[in-house]
Amino acid sequence: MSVWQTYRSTIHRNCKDPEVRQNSLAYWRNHLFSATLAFIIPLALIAVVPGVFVAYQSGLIPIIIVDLAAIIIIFSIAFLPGINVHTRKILFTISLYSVSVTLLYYLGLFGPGLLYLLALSVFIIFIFDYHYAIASVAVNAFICIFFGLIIYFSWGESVLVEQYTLNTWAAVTSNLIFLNIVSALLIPKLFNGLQLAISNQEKLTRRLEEKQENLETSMKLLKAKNEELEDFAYTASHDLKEPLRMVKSFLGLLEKKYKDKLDEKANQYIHFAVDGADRMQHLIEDLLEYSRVGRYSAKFSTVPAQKLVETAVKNLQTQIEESGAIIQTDENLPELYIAESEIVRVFQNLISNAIKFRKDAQNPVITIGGESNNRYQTIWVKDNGIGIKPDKTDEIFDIFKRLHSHEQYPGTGIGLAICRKIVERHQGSIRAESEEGKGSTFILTFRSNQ
Amino acid sequence: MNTVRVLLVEDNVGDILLTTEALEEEHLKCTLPVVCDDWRAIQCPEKKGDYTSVQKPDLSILDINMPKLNGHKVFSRIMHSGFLKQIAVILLSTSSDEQDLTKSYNHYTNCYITKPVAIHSFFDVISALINFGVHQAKLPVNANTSGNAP
Repeated sequence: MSVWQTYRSTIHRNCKDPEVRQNSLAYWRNHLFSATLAFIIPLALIAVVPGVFVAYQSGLIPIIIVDLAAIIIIFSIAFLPGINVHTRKILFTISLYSVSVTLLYYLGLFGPGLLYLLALSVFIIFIFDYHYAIASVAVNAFICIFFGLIIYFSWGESVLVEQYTLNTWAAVTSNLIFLNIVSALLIPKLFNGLQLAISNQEKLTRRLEEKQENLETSMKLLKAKNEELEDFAYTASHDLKEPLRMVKSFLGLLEKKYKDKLDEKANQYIHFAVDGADRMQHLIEDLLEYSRVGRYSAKFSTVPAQKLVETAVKNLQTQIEESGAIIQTDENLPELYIAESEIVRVFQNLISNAIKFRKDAQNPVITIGGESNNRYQTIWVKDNGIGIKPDKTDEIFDIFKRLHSHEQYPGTGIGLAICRKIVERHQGSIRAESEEGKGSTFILTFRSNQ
Repeated sequence: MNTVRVLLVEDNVGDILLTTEALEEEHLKCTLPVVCDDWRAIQCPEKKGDYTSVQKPDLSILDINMPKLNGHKVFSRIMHSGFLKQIAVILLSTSSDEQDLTKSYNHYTNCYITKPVAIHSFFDVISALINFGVHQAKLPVNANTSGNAP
């Protein structure tokens, strides 16, 4: 820290009021006071040195004494620790009043005494509360009347007695008091406005902070609820498996051992019971799988999308061969920062769907392409299948949402829900574009440089 | 009917019945007492309580999802008892959770099987286990006499 900075911060520290709130008007008043002290000390030397010199030549020793005393007091105000800032301000004002009264007494209107009085009253309005502004008018009026009496009764050796009559003095000082009153009335208006602006600003900030806090609390609550729900789905589906297995097993055993002893109707009942249990089993297993997504934090790494697609294709080899599907992959697919096994799963589900929902008379053709820019990486999986009505392209991502009957296309409707869950866990998004009979395109979007 | 000593650690009465029936299907009789809660599951291999004179089994089928203690803790204690040394230890669990799977193999199970839901698959699995663990696997001749804790 430079000498000037050390000097400034020392004064600033001494003029700080710990009870005053940062950025309030009182805070800035103290700040102005400390800045005034910091600048007045070097500047006063410029004013005092020639003053003292002239005073010495003219034999005006009291002026020299008062000037020097004022400088010592200002030094003490600036540097003595442990004094309350209000006391410092009062001492500062008193010492400057003494200087101006002395100047007035010895130099009259020839000296800067009246100028000091006016400047002081304005300064008081700046650094003190509003009622001090009225006090400063009163003090100035008192000083003017006091000198008026000196002139009238010709007391002491003041130059004023020689220079003025009571009338001329009254004419000059009434101007001073006039200016004094005007500033005491008008300047506080400015401060009132500022104060209002500051407190409004603070109110707004506080309200914003409160809102922010509420929002954060809600987010936390939401997150906790979400986790709770996921836990519930996981536990529920896990625990449902066991009794269902009993139902299925013993239905199976019943069928196996007593089929011949039961009549056709009884066997039909068993058949429907088994069928219901089967479907429930699929639902539970899929729900379990869905809730398992992201349960164990998978490792993220940078993998070329090409490789992810290749793995997915390899996993689906039987299905691809049986359907005669043709998979075309664009070159230069982007590299993704993802949990590999999860995104492979996404591609697997999308390709598998494309094959499943193919047109009867056509070999499925699946094209995988992509592009990336600074902000987003996009990959699409396009097929020539049966397509989806455009107004259904959102709801297909809902859990257990199916657009076809079980007999037409088997499945529980979990595949795309799992895709969406995985992609959203990657802070990405998935959507579909399609028209009935014209194939579908599933578009994955990830943020670049995650 | 042949007798095979199968240690079945299972708390689900339904599964006990299913397994017994599956063994009957193989013309085998399960002669070892069925252990149906986790305290007993620990007592048996440690030859305590009701099990002081228990004989070493030919095959063991364990369900680790028993509720009172953590299944894996029970399993770890059983494996440390040495009672099941030299025979096949099969975990037959309802859980298909990857972590359960890994933990079980880390505790030296020979084989982890998720309980099949379809009855014929269940019977197939038991049949395959008996075939593998009793008929095919060659066990040390003195296996039944050296079952002391390590």
